[in-house]
Amino acid sequence: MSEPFIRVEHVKKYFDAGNKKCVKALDDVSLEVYRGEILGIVGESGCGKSTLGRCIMRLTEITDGKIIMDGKDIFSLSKKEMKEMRRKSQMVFQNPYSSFNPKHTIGRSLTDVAKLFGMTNAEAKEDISNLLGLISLDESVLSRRPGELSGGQLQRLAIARALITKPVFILADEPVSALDVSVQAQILNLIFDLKQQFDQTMMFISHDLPVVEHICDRIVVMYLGAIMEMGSVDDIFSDTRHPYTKALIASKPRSSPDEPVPEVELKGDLPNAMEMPEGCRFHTRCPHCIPGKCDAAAPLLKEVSPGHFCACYLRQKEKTSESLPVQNGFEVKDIRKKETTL
Amino acid sequence: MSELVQINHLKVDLMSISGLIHAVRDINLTISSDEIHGIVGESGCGKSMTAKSILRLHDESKVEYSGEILYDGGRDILKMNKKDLLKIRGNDISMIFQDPMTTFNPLLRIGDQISEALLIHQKISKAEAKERSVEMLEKVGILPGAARYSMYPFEMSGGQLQRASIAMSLICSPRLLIADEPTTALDVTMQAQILKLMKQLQREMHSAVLIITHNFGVIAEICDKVSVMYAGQIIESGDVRKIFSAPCHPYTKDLIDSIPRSGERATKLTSIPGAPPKLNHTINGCAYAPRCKYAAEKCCCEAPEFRTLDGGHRYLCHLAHDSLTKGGATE
Repeated sequence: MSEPFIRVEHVKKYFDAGNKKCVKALDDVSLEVYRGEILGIVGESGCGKSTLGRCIMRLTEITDGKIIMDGKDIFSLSKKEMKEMRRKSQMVFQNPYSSFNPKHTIGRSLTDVAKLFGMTNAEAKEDISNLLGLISLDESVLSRRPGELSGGQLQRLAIARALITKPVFILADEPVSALDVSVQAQILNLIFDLKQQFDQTMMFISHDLPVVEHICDRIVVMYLGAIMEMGSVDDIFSDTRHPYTKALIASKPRSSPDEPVPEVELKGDLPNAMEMPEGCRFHTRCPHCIPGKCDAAAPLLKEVSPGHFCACYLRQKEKTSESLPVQNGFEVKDIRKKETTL
Repeated sequence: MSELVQINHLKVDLMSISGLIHAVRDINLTISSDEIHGIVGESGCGKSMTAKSILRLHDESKVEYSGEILYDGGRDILKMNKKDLLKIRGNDISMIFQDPMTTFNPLLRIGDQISEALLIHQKISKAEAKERSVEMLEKVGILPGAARYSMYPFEMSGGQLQRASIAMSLICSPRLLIADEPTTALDVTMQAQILKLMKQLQREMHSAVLIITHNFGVIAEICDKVSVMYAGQIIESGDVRKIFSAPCHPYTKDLIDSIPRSGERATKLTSIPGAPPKLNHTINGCAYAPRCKYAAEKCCCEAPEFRTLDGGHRYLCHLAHDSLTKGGATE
């Protein structure tokens, strides 16, 4: 695989919750986004997937760690360099209705972005008309306002707006969850086109497993602010290692009533993020929890097969060597060791 | 199986700033006791409007009903007086809503809100009502019931609150439970738990369930029968296995095909071009014709009629039932 465009290194993001408590929205997360791939981030609400996205876009500051984009630490960039970085990395949000200014025409919303990044009127016009062709919309939408368009049309325009700056990387945070299934298919097909035609690098945040399975190359499964499993689509769906990933796959609704009912079922609720369970954060709901081990210390994220990482004691037996996995020159460090010193 | 609720030619018109909206356009639907019936459709297709009409929950100064909704073989809910209607609401027919966070009054204890329904509809003492509410809470998996009885809504998570709202709606052993998008606000793991619980309770209590959803997965998971709605009409209805294995209406087929399936990677999905029609004017011909790839000239001007197949499977289309599998439009 090619070099990573983004490297997230041991990122922590803690939110102060008062009473000397804090919510560990991200707790030592490390991952890479390679050029030309679509990386999917899945997990239940509250697992930190959107926070991770916001950190990568520098929409919020991080507590600890580093985010390297295109070889530069984004938190040490000057204002001018940051603007260039913003050109390279664009974002598409969940709700298309609130991502456009309702008082501006679509044309103005799009040209504003183009002008902000130094395009002339003529260049902007040409670019926009090319993009409209790509998302199969008519030029007549340019004179309309968001209220006159449907959710699907607006979401396609939001993607077009993100493409105006010719970004290297697009972060899509739940881009289809506010849409109906028929419209969802249009957006997924469009993303699929972008990948095929332009090798677009993307990070796709979603809670919907079938959607992620459909369009992503690699998948990161998160639970309560940490990575549980990470690997290629085949690794995650055909060689599932972590009990949480298994449970997540088993809980997705069947696509037809004739499909067999999966056996694994997840009991209970997500623990309170302010009182994180000791040991493996999943042990309170895990059907395979080993008392005395899983509730004592958290398992490390280890490589179980090339490029496939899993943080679970049970699934790592095959791996005899105790060494920490090394990928692209940096270690995936022991999460717990760091925390005891905190 | 007896017919519990029979909806005949229901039309619901909504007064809005932009004029009259025909939200529900002539619906016939029968819900039998002891079955789980699903209504599925995209936003704005009138599925929630239909469900709420059964309990007449709309603001009646802005909504006009016509047709009839017969409850238990005779009484028309649409013509009932307020007193009789209140006897039915919560007692014979109850409802679960999409957002569990707004179902409960945030200032009252969960348990008291559950026993309130018992105290209104049944002649029992407060102590008895509390006892039964605690039992019900434990039945839906909120343990220990006695301690949770006195909790406030904010102390519970979304999934637990949805369980509590199921307890609240089932406390009077209703004959019909209407669930309007009961799992949309929840995570998949919680959705699986709630659906399993609903199915189990339905089997135990022998009540009918009408479930409203936009998610075909939910339908596949728990329904016996399903009705697909589009632009205020039911366009196909029948046994859930039949609809999934051999849909007859092009819309149903397109909708099922547009869902990403596990195992199918990096392929293009079927997407439906265009958008559903606006419902503020009359629709000539078939409402789906402008988006339908099988549409013929006839479809745009002449409204289709229901075709009926074996086992109560019916659909609203000019096409013969086997033409979708053959892949071409005949007739």
